[in-house]
Amino acid sequence: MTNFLVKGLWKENPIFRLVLGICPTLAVTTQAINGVGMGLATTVVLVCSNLVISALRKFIPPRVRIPSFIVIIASFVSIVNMIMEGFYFELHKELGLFIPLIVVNCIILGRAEAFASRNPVLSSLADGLGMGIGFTLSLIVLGSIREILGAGTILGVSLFGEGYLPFLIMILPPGAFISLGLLLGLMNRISKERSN
Amino acid sequence: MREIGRLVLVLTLITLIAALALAQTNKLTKDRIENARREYELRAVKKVLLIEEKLKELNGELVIEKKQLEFEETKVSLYRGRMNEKIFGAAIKTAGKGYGGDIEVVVGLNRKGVITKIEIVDHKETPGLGAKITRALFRDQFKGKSAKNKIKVRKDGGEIDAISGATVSSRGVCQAVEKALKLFSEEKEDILKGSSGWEVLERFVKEE
Repeated sequence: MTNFLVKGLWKENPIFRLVLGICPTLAVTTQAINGVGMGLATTVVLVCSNLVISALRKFIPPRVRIPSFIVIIASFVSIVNMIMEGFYFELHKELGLFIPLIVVNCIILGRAEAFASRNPVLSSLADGLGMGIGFTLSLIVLGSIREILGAGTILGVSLFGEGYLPFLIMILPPGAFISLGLLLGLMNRISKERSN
Repeated sequence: MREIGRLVLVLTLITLIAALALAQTNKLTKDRIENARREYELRAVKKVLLIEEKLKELNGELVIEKKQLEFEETKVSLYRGRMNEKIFGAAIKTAGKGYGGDIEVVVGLNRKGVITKIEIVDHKETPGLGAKITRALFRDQFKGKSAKNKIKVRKDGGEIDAISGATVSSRGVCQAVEKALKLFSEEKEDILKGSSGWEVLERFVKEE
């Protein structure tokens, strides 16, 4: 069970090892705090959808599994969106932008297809939670790097004082590709050295 | 044939349950969302009308009033602050085209049509980039400007410094502010003197 939970953090980290969910990753990692919000919202949807899909895995015929998964995922996203706006309006003001993006996050469909539809409920829950946390941490790391270099701040706090001239490119789309590419390379290298 | 029947049945069931769950959540949260949005807008209106300062010097009655009207084919909300029969300022909610959609801005004006403050109430700009339009450093540039100034970004020959890397978002805010200034000059009579169609939103009373 703990294995299912931990594998999302490094061995099967959704961004750096499975290279899934890259579109929202590139889009939201302009600052560290976005990673926290997007990561947590995705984790909630991932856990819920894994749970339901795993519970229904014997009921859903393989030929209509993809549309079924998408309906389930999109419903959870909409529900999370509505509840958040109704009950946590301020938070929704900050994160509302990201919520609809979760529907097209292929990590969620990927886990439904590769894991939840083949494994019992509890393991699927652990898998969703682990993947969600792995995704969140990766977003925070990437967001921090881009925020520090591109804006000279971390979590909105100025680091280098007034005189610092930020590399604007780091918070623009090219910066996302550059930092993601370098981190991917670094992670590959570390894993390689570890396995040797 | 039997298999197709099963596929249809399962998919129908799943979508049906999803629809029910969505309808139920919508019913539960609709009013709350509506309220929260109104609250949020009213809070921005109070900020741009500088209500806190006004309340300090208040002796008598202070009222915030609202009116909806059509302007250039879009709905706009007009607010005004009245202290003992005298209108001291107006707040106008307009929208401009941003990078990710409409940017909704509440613009506060005094009796002479000079901007007191602006607040961004809704936008879909890129986080960390266009979303910086909500920062005070950017918004404060509009303070003290009026219809006499050129409310455009410098690239377009105006007086507003755009956020670097986010010219489109900055333009959207300028567009909304310009619209508000235009609306104010056209509706000045009604805002400062009119009485029909204005609905009281909040009333403060303090006697010394």
